[in-house]
Amino acid sequence: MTAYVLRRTGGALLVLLLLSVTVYALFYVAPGDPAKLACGPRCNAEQIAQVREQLRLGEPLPLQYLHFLQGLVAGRDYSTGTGVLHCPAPCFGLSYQNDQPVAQLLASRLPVTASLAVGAMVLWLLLGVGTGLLAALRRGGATERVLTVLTLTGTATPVFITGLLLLMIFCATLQWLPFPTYVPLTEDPEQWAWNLLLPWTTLALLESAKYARLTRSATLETLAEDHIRTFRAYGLRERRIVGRHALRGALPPVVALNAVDLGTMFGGAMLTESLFGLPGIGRLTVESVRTVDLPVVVGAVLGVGAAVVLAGAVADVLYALADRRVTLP
Amino acid sequence: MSDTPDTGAWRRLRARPSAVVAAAVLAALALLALGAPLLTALEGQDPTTYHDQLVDSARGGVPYGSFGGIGADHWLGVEPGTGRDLFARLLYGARVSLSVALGATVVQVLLGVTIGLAAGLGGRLLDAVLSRFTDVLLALPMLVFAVALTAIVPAGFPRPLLLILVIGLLSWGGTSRIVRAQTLSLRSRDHVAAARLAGRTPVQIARRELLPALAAPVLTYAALLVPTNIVVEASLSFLGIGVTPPTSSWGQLLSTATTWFRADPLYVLLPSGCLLVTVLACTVLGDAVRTALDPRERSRLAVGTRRAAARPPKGATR
Amino acid sequence: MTAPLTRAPATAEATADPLVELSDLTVTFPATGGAGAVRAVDGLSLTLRPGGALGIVGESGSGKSTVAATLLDLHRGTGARTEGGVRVAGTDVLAASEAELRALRGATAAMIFQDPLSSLDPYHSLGDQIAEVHRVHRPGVSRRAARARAVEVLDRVGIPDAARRARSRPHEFSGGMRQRALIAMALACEPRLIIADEPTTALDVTVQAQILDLLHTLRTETGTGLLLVTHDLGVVAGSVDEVLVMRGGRAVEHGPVAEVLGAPREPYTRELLAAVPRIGTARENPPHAGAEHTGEGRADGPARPAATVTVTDRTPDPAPDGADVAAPLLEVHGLRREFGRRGPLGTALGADRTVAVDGVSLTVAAGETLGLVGESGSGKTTLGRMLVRLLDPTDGTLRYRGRDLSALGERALRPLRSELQMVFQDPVSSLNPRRTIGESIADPLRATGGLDDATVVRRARELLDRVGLDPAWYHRYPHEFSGGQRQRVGIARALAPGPRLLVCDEPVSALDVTTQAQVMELLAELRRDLGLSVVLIAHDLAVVRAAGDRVAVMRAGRIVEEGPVDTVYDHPRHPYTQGLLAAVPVLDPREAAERRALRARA
Repeated sequence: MTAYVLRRTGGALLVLLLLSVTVYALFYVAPGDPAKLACGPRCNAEQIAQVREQLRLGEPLPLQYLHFLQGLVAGRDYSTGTGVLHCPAPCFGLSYQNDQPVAQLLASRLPVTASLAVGAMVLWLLLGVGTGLLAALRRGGATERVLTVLTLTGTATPVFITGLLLLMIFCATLQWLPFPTYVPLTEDPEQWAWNLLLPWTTLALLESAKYARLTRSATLETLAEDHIRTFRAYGLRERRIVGRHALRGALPPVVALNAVDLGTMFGGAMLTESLFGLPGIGRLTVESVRTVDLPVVVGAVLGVGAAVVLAGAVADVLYALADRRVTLP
Repeated sequence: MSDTPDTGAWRRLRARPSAVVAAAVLAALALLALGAPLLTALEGQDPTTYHDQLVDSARGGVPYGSFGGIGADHWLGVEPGTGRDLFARLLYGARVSLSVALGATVVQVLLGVTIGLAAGLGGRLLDAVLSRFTDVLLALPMLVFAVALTAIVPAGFPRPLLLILVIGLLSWGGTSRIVRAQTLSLRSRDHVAAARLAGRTPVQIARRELLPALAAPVLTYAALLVPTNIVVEASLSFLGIGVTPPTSSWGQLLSTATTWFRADPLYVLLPSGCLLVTVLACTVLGDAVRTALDPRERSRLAVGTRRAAARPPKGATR
Repeated sequence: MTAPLTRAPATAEATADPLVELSDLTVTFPATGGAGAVRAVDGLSLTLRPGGALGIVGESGSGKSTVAATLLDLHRGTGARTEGGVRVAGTDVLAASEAELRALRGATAAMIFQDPLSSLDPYHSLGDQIAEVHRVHRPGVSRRAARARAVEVLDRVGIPDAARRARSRPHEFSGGMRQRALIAMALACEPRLIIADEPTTALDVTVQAQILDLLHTLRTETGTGLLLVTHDLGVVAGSVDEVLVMRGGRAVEHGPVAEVLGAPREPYTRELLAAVPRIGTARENPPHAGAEHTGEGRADGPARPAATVTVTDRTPDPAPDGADVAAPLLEVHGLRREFGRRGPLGTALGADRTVAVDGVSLTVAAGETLGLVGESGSGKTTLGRMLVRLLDPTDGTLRYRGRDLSALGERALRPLRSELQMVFQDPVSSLNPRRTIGESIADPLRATGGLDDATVVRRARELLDRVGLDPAWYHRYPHEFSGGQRQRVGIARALAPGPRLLVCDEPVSALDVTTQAQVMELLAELRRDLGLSVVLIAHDLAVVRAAGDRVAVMRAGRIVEEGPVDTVYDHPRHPYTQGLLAAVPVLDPREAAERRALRARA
């Protein structure tokens, strides 16, 4: 088991390294002139040359990448005309817009994204696993058919449609909920939750459909296994069989999927954040793309990549722990 | 009785009312999209002309008249703010949404099958490299990457083509994974060993023993990729990074709709409805195809795929 | 031991009643897909007295397992229609309420299933699972007492260090130990009846003997009744008092075990018995003894007259350059095969290698049949695949007619492929489901590229005829055929390129016993007529005795004993071979009892 964890972690680190090379190459090498972008539209040739010097864009590419890696691990200093700007590790560079270190920018948006992710996860687990179990227990009946249609609609509906409809109903027409604005948890927990309720619901409606389908199919698959027949043949009640044996078998894929999803969520829910105007990491990414603020874009992509890759590794390890039957690859 | 094992699938598919309805809806949509120039000519409108006289500039551009200005001239009303004909914009939007989704699916399937086959049939090293690469790709949140990529593409690049390429190049991972897994499982079957003993070359074996058996799972997966791609295109356009005005797409319409939902609800509901109906019909049809293509095969395959179940086709765009 | 395992004496009433009473039982499964409704059991009646042991034998599809499931009404709620009378220990099973049925299941009558791995919950420890079942039927028992009871029964079925092992989960046990655990679960509530559905089919022969011995001991010590369902006549011989032979849902013959197996009255029973390969006696007609071949090929399709066409018109070509003509057809030296991950740069660091075949040397002479026997995991299949170079040896040499094949690459090997062919075990996966059987057979002929289409099709039809199938079936697909028929197709395909050596990997282990006999007969006939060399891989020692000239016994990747078949079987020298032979079930109940006593002393 330890060997597997080590191997999996090693694999994840390798993937991250590969990812950083790809992303770096794509964003700093392929398109036009980063110096021009960094300097802004009103710069003259001299200023651009100065910026190129500051960003060390004259160096050979592999060296540039090494500096970039070095910045990630140990931090990096940028000299400007007036002084030195320090960018502490992990340094993805400085924003072209306001010279802030990208990591700092990302960190400042993290609380919003985290609030969104955790709250939504609680909702989608409750809703999804519950619905899935119900569908598995009422298999073949009208309940299952209704639930199937509902979950199918859920997965098929993009968040911005769900969100818009919810906004129209609960904020505009019924006026039960405020138009969401972000209130920090530390400031006013009640307002925090009240404002996030709609975004949470929007995300949960989308995600829970996926979990419902997964829970249902995994439960049914387990119910069809031979050991369930054994317990039926030994006089156990159906309720106990489902609760103790079938659900246990259905758990590993749900746990694994949830780890991956939570990881992805920390990369920001771009659509939800944009729709509800929440200043999270996803919205930051979209804004940076509009302004072609490359360091922020690269930082966001790498940050999300890291979160997802690590979550994937955690998911695999959790899966191996939860389902001892799998032979470790 | 001497028909091929596959003919039953068609019969099973037609026996499902939901599949038939979904197919009919999709056919109607495709016809509407194809006939957009004709239909808008019939209406007497086009998707790009501004009609300032039809919107109330005093109220910020809300269309005059009830229900967003529906009338004989404008069958589905006009766009708030600009007064462009909504029916025409929806139809032309359908062209973009459907062609981008289909185009991206073709790219995904071609890439996925090629890379999956190479990984499944190639040596250990090739498999390791390609699988690792696929892992990276699957790990990336597709939408984030797609959004980021559009930042570095020159503004003059044709947008629908860019969308096809970005979506296609970024998400062939699922297809390639399925093809690789299937290839590995098929490769261990004895009829493949028998073909080797018969003196068949690896290329002949791939073409004769593997590809026909891969058709069903790939087709199934592709059918479910189409609705995902529609949503991704809509999402990108919603974020303002998809097609650029004056070209319309459903996602782009919804993006402007976010500011109008209080004043002109119909402007939200129409593109939402179109998108929802299309995606739902695609999903229902895809699901039906999956069940129709040998349900026994699926349950047999499911035995060893509990890990795979943890990674459904990537479609969640938040 | 805290509680006596022997049951309290049964009440007078219970002794008088039969333990199991089936009267005119009919079970019908509803139509699914294209198939119509299936009547799996058709008017079956039987009784079992308390403490008695009844064996139900039959081939696949005979309805024997359906009967077993009906005793606990496991079909309830599945849509199957069960009619007739089913009484188990005085309970009218079909009329029983859910609660009564639950009380019956596990407490009065306990079931043991075929596959011990999948029959236990992989997520809970064995002790917990047994304790859970115990507490369901003994609500007053505390958790701790139930755990103690679990340890007690695990100890009773011979699981060493039961207190510690009770905390382990099923995958941490071997197949035999898992089956013991399942039996322990059955014992947990001291049932009056144990229903065992193919309890040893998934197990190796030595483990099978241990499990059967265990069941026998438990039965004699506790007085529990036993209903044993199996396809293997050898399994019932030593384990039950009475036998019921089933076919197509009906009882064919029913009586004391010695009578049914010793002097069967019904033709079907006789046919079944005749089909069972004997291990104890030498072959009546050794393959080289001459031409007393009768030619009555009993195919499981419509019987076809043996074909007269010559399928292989190969002229005896000269041996390859520089080859020793007197050399054996195939000569293998120090063959080795490893599987698994290598460490980085060939080091052992982090490597995870297992050795499947460990330095095997053997020869196959022209026209000879070499039997290769061994239990699961002995490496016999890996060896067989290396012999035809489907797998590359890690080390060692493989000489075919004097030429070293182990060094040849895939391309250089291709012209030689036609001479070394293989018949596979699984009749399902060995045929491409999307190709007609005729095309499957024609494939090797087409691959050579030298024949025109008409000739290829004509040859394929001849081959179909040769293996006892109708040439008109050329255009049919594999799913339209039975297992035995598919195996015939596989044989025809292997014969198509005109091989000199045929490696048969468990060619009959997936087949029913009567089909098994027919396929083995076909193989023997082909070998005689075509002068083939055959390597026959089998876990069933009796199959090899009936067909082999020489036999090699494999264990853990090595050959432990090798020699002429009769010598090895009658006078085994290696202890492993001796143990293996002693574990083989025999058909004579008296001999079975003697062997059991012998094993008990050993």
